[in-house]
Amino acid sequence: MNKDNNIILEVRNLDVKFFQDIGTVNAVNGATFQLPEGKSIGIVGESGCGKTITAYSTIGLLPPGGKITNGEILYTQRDGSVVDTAQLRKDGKEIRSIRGRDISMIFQEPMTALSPVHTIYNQLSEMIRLHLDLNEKEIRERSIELLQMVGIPAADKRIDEYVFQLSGGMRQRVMIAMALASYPRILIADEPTTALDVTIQAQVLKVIKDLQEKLSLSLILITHDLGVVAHMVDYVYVMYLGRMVESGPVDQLLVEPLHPYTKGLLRSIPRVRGERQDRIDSIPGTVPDAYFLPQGCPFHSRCNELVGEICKKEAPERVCVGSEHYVSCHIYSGSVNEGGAIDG
Amino acid sequence: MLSYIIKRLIYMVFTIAFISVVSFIVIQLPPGDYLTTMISQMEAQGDVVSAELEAALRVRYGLDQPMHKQYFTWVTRILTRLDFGYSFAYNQPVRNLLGDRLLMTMAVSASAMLFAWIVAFPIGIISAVKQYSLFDYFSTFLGFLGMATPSFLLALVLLWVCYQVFGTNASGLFSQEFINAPWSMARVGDMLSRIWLPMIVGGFQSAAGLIRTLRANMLDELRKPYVTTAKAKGLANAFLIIKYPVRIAINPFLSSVAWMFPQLISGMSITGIVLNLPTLGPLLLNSLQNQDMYLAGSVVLILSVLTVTGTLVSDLLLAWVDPRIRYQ
Ligand SMILES: Nc1ncnc2c1ncn2[C@@H]1O[C@H](COP(=O)(O)OP(=O)(O)OP(=O)(O)O)[C@@H](O)[C@H]1O
Ligand SMILES: [Mg+2]
Repeated sequence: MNKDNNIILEVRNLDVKFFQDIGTVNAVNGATFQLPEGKSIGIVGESGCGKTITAYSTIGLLPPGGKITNGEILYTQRDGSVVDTAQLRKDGKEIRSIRGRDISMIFQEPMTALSPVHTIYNQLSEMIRLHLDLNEKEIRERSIELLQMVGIPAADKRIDEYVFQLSGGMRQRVMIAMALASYPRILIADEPTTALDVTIQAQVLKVIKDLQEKLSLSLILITHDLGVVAHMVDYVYVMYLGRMVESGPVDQLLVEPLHPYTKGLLRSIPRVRGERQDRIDSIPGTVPDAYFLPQGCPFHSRCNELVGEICKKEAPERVCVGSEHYVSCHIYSGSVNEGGAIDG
Repeated sequence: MLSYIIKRLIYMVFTIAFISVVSFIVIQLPPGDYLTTMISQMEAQGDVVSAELEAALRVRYGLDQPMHKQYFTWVTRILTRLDFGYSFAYNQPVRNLLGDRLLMTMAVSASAMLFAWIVAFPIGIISAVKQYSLFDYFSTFLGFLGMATPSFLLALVLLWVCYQVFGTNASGLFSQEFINAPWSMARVGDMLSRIWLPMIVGGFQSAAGLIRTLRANMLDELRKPYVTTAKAKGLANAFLIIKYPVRIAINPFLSSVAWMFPQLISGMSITGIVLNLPTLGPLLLNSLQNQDMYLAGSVVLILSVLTVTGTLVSDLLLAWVDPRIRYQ
């Protein structure tokens, strides 16, 4: 299946737990997604739902204490062979030849994600030196070229500056340049604009989108803002408590959300462009504790469309409700389930 | 940057002048002076000191002058001729007493600090990287032990062990035959073969403190996002840990080198006495007990010059290793 659809990265039933003295954090609970080659997908969900941990898992970056307890992360390499990165030794040679080289990542906090005591050139050239076979002169040229590519003015001068001399938006551009330095195939952008001003957000997103198209990257855009994904990705996964509750092509999902959680998320986007700003509806209640997973449907404690007792007892199956549109909710349990849809 | 340094240098001069005045006064605060001590000693031996002789001696030593005059004479001679005055107790110019001792003090303190760093850096870093490992627990234990053990006790224990095991007396910086010998390669060699004891004794406590702080700093830095970024590049762990978090965690230590130094010198006074070291510490203690004012004043002055220059060098080093400070 991986090859037929040109899926470059596929995560199946991923469970990640943090074992701590006070209990076990169930950070990811059965996350599943597919990234088709050259396409862009979005992973959307509230803070703490496991987006970052899922992304970290794919390139073996889990923080200390975190363990993948179940599932597969299938990466299709350049030569077509498939490797399960969940099985690779932590920080070993194999994962390091994928991380940074094939799969690059940019992070939420451009302020702190770069070293304050090394110059931009130092940090940028290091990536090139590590993965590409170039001489020092070529490395310098490529570094400047990369900074120009992400729209940093006077790149040949700024390259020798320190990151604290740049604004937040410029720092995030440096991060993007660095991530793209080694001609990666997949770019994971983890809330790349959350920490930035609104006007800067749009610029940085545009840089990412343009480069994704120009370099035919496969992009995973992680955000808690459904508004951001609209112009950025082809396909969206909505994540809640460490699993995907709904997924579909972006225009369909935004226009016709099915899961009560997705509807809630959409309602909570502030509509500034309208004649008057609508009241922002937030989803009632709070996200359940990741130490104790709720029984039944994970969203039942906050859901306003409960079907009945079944919501508290049984976890809903993932069902197909239209072309490539999937939802896990008892309201739609009558529809064709996942197995049938794919096998047929 | 240059104007900053100049400003700092000017402050420095004032600070040192102030310290020298205060120390000169403090040294003379107790009732009596060196002559009183000397006369009471002579009388204890049965000699009778006439009032004329006392007055004559007082004039000879300049003790009849008012205090501010004594101070200015002393300071002027230091500045113009590097003449630090005369030590009554040792019956020698202070400069003769200080020369070798200053050198020796530097050698002992520098080696103690080097020892502390060489021991503390790898241990502190590894115990942070391998937090809660057996190694970490062991180094934590060692750290507390080091901080809780007084240096003079450690000195006594090591002396005793040396005597029991090797049958030699390891105190002092030189063997018997070299104590008063002129400087030669052989004398330097002799000193190097003996310096390990004060080096360990002096460095142990600093090492213990360094391990604790370095471990804490490293734990902070290891959690910072820039470490994740470096990992995401695909760099090898050992390399990236040294290049990023270690580099940032040791900043404060690189800069502390300069002010740690004078601290070590004064901190090692008691150890110096226990180990019978020809360093400044024991000399200072002696001179204070004897009210040997020019000697005491000179040692305090030298220590304060070292401290104040040390602080300046620290700040410059910090600016050098940390661009965030340099570009402010
Ligand atoms: N180092 C860690 N140790 C223990 N638990 C962790 C750790 N990192 C994350 N978690 C837990 O894992 C869960 C998922 O966290 P994650 O960072 O993936 O959320 P997120 O969706 O990225 O949220 P945000 O939008 O705030 O970035 C949370 O419950 C969080 O508390
Ligand atoms: Mg996150």
